[in-house]
Amino acid sequence: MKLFLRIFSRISLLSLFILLAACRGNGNQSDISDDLYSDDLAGMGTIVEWDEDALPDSRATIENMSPVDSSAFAPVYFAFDSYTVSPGEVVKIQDVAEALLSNYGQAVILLGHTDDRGSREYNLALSERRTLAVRELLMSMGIGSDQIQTLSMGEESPAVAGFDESAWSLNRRVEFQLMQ
Amino acid sequence: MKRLSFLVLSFFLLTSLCVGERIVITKSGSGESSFDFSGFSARGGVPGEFFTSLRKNLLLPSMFREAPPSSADFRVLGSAGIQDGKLTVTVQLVDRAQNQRRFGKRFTVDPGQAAGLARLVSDEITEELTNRPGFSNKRIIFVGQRAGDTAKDLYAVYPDGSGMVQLTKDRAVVLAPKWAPDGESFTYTSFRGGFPDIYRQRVNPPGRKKVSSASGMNSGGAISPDGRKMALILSKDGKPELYVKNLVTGAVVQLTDTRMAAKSSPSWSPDGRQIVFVSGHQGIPNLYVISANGGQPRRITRGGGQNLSPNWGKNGLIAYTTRRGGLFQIAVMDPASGESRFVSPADADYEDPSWAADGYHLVASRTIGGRSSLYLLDMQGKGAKSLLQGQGNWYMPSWRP
Repeated sequence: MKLFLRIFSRISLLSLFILLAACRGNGNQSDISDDLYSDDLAGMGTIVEWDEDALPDSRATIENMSPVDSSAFAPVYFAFDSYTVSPGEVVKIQDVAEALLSNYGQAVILLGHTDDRGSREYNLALSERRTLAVRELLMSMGIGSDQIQTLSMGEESPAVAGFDESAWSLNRRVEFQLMQ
Repeated sequence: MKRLSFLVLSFFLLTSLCVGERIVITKSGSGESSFDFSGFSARGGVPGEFFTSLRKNLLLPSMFREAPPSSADFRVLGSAGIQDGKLTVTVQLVDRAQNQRRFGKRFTVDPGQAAGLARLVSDEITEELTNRPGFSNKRIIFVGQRAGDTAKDLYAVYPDGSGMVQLTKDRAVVLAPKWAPDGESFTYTSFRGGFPDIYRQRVNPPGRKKVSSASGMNSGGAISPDGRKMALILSKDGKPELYVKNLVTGAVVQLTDTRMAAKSSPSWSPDGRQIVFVSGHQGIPNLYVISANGGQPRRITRGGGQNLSPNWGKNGLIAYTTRRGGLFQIAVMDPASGESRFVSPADADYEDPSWAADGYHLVASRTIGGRSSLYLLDMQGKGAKSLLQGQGNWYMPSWRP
């Protein structure tokens, strides 16, 4: 038994050395490449813009114009999930059309909004659908497409804070900003 | 005899410590496992940080939990310490019942890499036990609004809540960040130029580019699996419709044309042949699938509620937001059978799901009392875990592939 132990311990010790050597031969004892640690998002605090102005912006309608007082023009309100202008709201659009036709402002920006329920991304599209519904009516009243600029914000810019229908109903809207 | 055991033990221990050595005994299917961490020794600052991070990451997947030494499936053994200014770590995972080693590695790294190493080790152990890639080292990007500030910007964070990075400094409304399938860039809608435009931001070298700024609305930018195309929603032709832009030639093709609808949120099928998107044809938003070449869209969600924000995973399943009993919930659908399963608890609104790299977990935003935070879910619906909470609103997550 003693002999066996002695031989075994020799073999074991030898194995240990071989193993240690093998480990050392492997360099930093880690099979992970450095770039797995490199924090590739850490440098993103500084943003390099490239091709920033490569795309033409076709939103020239309101360029070089200034806002004029539009407080007399009430927002058009909508039902939940709807982009249909209800008959009672049409008169507000008529007011804007008449103002533009009598040269109170040369153009109008339609600012579309939703309440804050549901997907923010879908709400952006829904608010755009609302502004486009108002745009169509303005055009049917004789306003040129080049006089109308839409800017849809989805649920991002509520008129009223709150989590009930009284707030929501005031947030589902298209506002008018006339420009001169 | 003591000496013999010591030598035998040393032999096995060193075998396991030797770099790159991995002893695979069996691969279990479900991967349901419990861990006993009491056999891991780490003292002091950096080693302690490594251990805290390893434990936290290993306990994130819903199939893993901690258990006492007497009942745990696996013992996490080893040590972390500082030697010659370096963090030296040995980690072993031993199957308690069979007394067999499932994982054994030794690492030497700079102390600053302690948390990164912990995430990596956690991912390797997870992969070993579940046969699925780990998600610990994959950052989640999202929209953030810090407490007391109305400004919104994009941020990124590891699922364990560490490594938060601010990705934009625009202080402008920003929406729907989405990783490209190769994980090298992401797209989003930003109002930084005054109007909703789509930007693509590259990770390395860092930089960004406006990729769509047609008149009206540009939103929902989603890069195709082959990286050559981008699905997007444009209203330039009079109403929000689904388009595909060829990123090589710049050509834009209109896919849908429905007079009465608002559309949003396109997401590509893993083979790039189909696109799922949201359309409000009948006033209520539902999910539709269309061929990436166009054609007739097919409605895939049924029922009265709203169905929103689809994310088509590499596993073939579509995660989406659906309204049920007055709450927004996360569901997972197999588009082949049309069958859906709810995977979020009915204790708050959950929205905007994004699949993890393992195709099993999901991240979503959870909103209660006007406050949004990021939550981890899984496709079995086994509970939700908070990932990022506190000082601000965090929402619209996208998990790096």
